[in-house]
Amino acid sequence: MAILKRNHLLLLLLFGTSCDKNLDYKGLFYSESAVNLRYEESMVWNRAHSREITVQDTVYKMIFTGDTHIGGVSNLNKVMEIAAASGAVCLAIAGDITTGRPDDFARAAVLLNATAPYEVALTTGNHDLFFGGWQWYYRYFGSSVYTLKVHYIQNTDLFIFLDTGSGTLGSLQYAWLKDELLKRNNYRNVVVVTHLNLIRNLMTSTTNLLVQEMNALLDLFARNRISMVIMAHDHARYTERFGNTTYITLDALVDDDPDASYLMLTGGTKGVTYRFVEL
Amino acid sequence: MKHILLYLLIVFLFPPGSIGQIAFSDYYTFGSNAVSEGLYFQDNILARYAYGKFSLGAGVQLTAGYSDQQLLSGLLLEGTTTLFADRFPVVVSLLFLRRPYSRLLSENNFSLTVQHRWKHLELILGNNIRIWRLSRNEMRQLGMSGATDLGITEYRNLVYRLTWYLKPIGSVWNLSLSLTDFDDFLIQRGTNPMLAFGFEKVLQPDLELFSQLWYQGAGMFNLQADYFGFYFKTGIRWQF
Repeated sequence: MAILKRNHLLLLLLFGTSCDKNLDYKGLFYSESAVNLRYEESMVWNRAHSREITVQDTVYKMIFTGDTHIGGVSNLNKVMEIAAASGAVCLAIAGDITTGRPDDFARAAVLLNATAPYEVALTTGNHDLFFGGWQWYYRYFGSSVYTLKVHYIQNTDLFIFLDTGSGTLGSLQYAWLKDELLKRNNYRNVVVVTHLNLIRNLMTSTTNLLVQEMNALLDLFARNRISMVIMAHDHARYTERFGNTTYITLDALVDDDPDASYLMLTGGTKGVTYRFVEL
Repeated sequence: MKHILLYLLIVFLFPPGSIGQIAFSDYYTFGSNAVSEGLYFQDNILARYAYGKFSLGAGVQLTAGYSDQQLLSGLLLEGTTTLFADRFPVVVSLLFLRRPYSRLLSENNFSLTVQHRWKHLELILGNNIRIWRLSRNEMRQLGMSGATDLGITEYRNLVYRLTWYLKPIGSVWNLSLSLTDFDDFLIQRGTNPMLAFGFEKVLQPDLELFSQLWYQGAGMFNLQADYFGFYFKTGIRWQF
């Protein structure tokens, strides 16, 4: 009976996570910038900007975080300092960088577009798309769907950034992903980065991908020996191994989160390893 | 071949001499979604044997034209019983649904639901546990015999359906509108509701025609909403 009561409550929660000022209620029913449009605009941007990093070593480090929800930038500032000091070659944010509001995008751009000794790699989360946020994301940061290649001594690793901010890859992005993975054997390690967490380890009112899409991606990732899938969205750390793939949900980096952390990834000829680091 | 398999299924499930009511449903589905890579087509066959307050059902789904999806895409077994038949009839259902996606990946679901019908409304509520499995044999074929973690169990998932009927349930014809996260061979996560518009018409006392149009949105009510897909299904139910 307790289960039924809780389910009833969750059913009600479906129709709006909360009366949050950062929730775009129009966006819950309609998207001004559908995922296929975002994909097409991303590909236009990608044609003029390739993303490659070259490392004169057999290993390299990258920092991953997500759900910064700018507004506040205190935790992000700390992680940027750590990234610079640690010699990481890239700082990646797996979506929900901002609240979607133009002034928050402007604040994020000042920080993330500043000159730094590391590359910045971003993708969208659902909050970045609220309030017509895609136009600001695209203006300041460009593509949300792209590949980043890390060349190091004797090998190259591939990082695939996906846009799942509206709950699906969409038909065009899915076809592109399959095409990219046809070249899987050109790389030592392949890591996928996306906002929505594929795996659910708790009963939650947050949305993930539809089951048909889950099946397609789980099959694709297992078949192509994806090393790691790095996700965010749930604000709670979680790891799961499935086949040869490690699925990692990141903690949130938003300022008021008591469990804020980032993930330090080490890549190289021996594969990719990770550790969470609390702030 | 399909009819022979169906016959064997019936004989196995409902041996001659048993007393009760047998019902069938055969319907075709076509649709498209973000990962189907074009229009797909499905044949769905369901059989049910009812005896008193109990029933036992089984079903098979075949799919063609859907990305990497294999032909046999769904198998289900369901047992139901009716409780409180005199005062407030509630149908309790226990379901196993296996959805093979490919030779490598399959999805297995175990659901427990309760259903009640009013004059114009039907409500189903329950829980579902989903387990994804990778085939050890197929992993070996793909040169990944070292992998040991071949299953993911998803935490309990809410299952629900609210259907409103234009005319009283059981009318000769009817129109319906459903908000739900499951269909016969598909159980979504609770936060991915689907909308279904239905039409049904009794052609003969033991034969009914039905059609349904399903809309699948991504991120509805919770993220930035987007289109995911649709499907249309039509077929017949008959009983003897």
